Amino acid sequence: MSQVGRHRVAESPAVGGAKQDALQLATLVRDCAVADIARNVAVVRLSRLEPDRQRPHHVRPHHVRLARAALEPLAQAERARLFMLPSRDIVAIWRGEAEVARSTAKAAIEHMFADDESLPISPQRLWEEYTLPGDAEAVLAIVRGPDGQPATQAERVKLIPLDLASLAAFEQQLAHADMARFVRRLPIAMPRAKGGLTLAWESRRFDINELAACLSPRHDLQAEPWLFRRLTRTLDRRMLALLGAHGELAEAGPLAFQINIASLLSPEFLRFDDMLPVGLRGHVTLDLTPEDVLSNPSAFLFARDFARARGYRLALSGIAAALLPILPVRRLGLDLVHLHWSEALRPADLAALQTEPERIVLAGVESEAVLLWGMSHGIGLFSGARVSDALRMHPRIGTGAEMPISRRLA
Amino acid sequence: MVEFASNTGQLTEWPGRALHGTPDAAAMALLGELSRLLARPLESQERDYRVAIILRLSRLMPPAPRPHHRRVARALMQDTASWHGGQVFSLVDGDLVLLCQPRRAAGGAAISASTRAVEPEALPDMLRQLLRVDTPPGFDPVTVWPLATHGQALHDDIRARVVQQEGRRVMEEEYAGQTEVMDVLGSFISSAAIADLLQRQTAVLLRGGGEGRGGLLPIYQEITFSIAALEGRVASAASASTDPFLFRHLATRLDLRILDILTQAAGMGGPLDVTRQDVPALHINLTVQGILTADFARLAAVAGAQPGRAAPRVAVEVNLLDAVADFSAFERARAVLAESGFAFVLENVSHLSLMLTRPGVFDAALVKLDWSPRLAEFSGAERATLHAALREIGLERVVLHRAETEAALRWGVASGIRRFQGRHVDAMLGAARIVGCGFAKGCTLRHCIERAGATNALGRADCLNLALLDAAVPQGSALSTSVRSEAIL
Repeated sequence: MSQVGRHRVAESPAVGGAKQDALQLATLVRDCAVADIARNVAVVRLSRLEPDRQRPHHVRPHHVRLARAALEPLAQAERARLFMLPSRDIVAIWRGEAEVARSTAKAAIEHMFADDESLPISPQRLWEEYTLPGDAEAVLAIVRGPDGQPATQAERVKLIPLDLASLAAFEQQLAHADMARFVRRLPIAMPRAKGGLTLAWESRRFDINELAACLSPRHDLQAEPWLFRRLTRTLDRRMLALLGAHGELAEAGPLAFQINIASLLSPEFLRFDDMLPVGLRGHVTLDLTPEDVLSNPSAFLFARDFARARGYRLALSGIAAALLPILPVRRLGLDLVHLHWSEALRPADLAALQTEPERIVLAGVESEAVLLWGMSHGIGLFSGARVSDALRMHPRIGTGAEMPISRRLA
Repeated sequence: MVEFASNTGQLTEWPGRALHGTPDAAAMALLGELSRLLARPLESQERDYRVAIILRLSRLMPPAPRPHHRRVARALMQDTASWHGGQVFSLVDGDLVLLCQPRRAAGGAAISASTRAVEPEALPDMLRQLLRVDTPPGFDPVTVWPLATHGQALHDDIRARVVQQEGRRVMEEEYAGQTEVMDVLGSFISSAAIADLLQRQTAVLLRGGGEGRGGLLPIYQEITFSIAALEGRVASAASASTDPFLFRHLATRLDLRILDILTQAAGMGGPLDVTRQDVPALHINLTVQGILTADFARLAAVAGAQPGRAAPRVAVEVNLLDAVADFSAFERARAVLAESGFAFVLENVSHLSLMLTRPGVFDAALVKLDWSPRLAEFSGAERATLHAALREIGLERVVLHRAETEAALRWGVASGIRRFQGRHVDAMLGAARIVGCGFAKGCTLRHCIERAGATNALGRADCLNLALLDAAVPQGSALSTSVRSEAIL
């Protein structure tokens, strides 16, 4: 994969490859869809030069090289990145206005193939444009390619798992990196009395895939789960620093973020707590994970009671349905639980939570059917692509101030 | 005058440390402030009404107080101080003193909505609640001293403390650098010869009944690496277990070593031989990741059930944290264990995790509950929850682990638990061997316990009765009618 633009880095063909690019692009597109992130996409459909696969070598290396060169003007666009797919399609993705660069690149592609009489299609059909998050499905279909094969986990093996030495180096790197660009805002919504959804709060999190792609492209940050968990502590501190930046909290609405127990008891959190505006107190949710809770139950109980005393809501996230009988949320004394939707989820799983359905956040809501399933079981909070879509279509609906979730859960 | 809910004016003694150390600057500052306040006329003192709230963090149960206890408690006390014209003094040993002049917020709320400060009347109970898990039974970590009536006594105590100060300083946890230290340890684990650091501990079934049927029946021998010895060998600057996440990562490296060592030792007849039938079953600790490796498959192949071979007498202990962290991987690992004929044991269940989770749902062959004196202190609803959790697991499947004292055994027996593992059990088994061994003339109890815990030739070299050492107790004695009567359990 190569990256172009403001944070351009050297290509790393030896460790990435087209399949890796496909995986990362798919992740980026899904993240845009879920977190409602706007991006522009241009695709050079070189795969169309091989319509029936009878002439698999029609796409010559110089075609790829020229096509990439043609996209070079887009390198100057904000957050621009370039992906080479296994199908030989080339995808440029960027943020914001770049009209001159876009039209220059498009003209260059058309000009490049204009004199090729053997071309099976017109040069104009080699160029396609999309916008995210609305066209996420169409872009994902391109990523999957003509065989419809998504990039799989197995294809990630070319990345090097994080080890202790590289973790230490990466932690040092994170201390000085501009982290604001990796923050994503995921809306959590609740049903309105008159129908539809309203924003309850925003969950802020780092886009781990993009962060890895930009800051440590040779490493798979999540291959060693315990090292990744350790890394999340460093990320916690960076998130707290970002939230504590001048004016950030003053302009913020109800929000949530993931945090480790150790971070919740850190000086950085106490500083964040010091800065929290009166109006926001009671409207901040802290998301905890089961393994963190159990790694030090004594510290968890201390942190839980401290957070409660300071007016924070506590949620359990990252819990599989199969774990619900083992970790009753009521026993943990938490306010909310994030439950990821899956086909296997059954009403009995909700009963196993031993908590009121309105305290459940159903995550991964990708369709209307899932949303309706959750609402029919009394679930009160939702997140996922469908929720982002619904809120984007009705941007003026609810800001959290309309019906603060804390009033319902108090 | 503000009325405090409890222990107003209660005086307790400072910890009796007759050691010399550095003068406590905060204590000196506190003394100066107290002297100034006490020098005022009594009427003025009563009118102003000032109190000292003392938080005895230094008396929490180890490993507390941790830096976060001090940090958070200080933040809470500082907020109260800011709103009530006070000051917080951090003493060298970790104790905190809040000197303030309480004045009620409008409406008398415990916590001021506008300032989030806890009112002085509510602060002691809030601190007690926060610290309840780490407070010794029967000890009140918070005392309140009204200066008008007890100011001079407080002054005298603080002054005595300055003289007697031990000078124990509370160290901040240093996360930066921890990764590098663990990297050194991890590299050592992967590359050095560490088989001699494997240690063994026997668990027993405590049987009742007469006619020679009572006593200790060995049920398994757990083989683990001594982490303390590992740290000592690399002269580690930090404890491996300081960061639970990094420690779990290190455990995956230890897995590969122990799997390799046990595979090599199979069929050799030593204490690490997983194919032996004449000694109690072997238990090893593995991570979920470790069970899913090819190295585990190799061990299972040499120890596993095959035609003409007895069923494997090996169990794998999985940490509760590991099982919860990636439950789908855990389920795969459990299927691998079942296929290999190895029993699954859930370990690292503390009294707190027993209250927060339902380990019984795992349906493990055994669940190892770590002993804590706190277990004996539960009362009311907590005690009911505890016993319900034990019943859900099934008392016949509970092993009271880290049973280092007689108190642990006493509590376990009173609670219906019959399986025990720990240093107290080691001593009981050692005593039985000394009595029943014909070669023990020159042995001390300590020698016998240490040799039983060793797995390498050097550690066992001076024992002249290795068969008895490996069997844990004399065969046919009142302590053990048969070591084979319980294959795994």
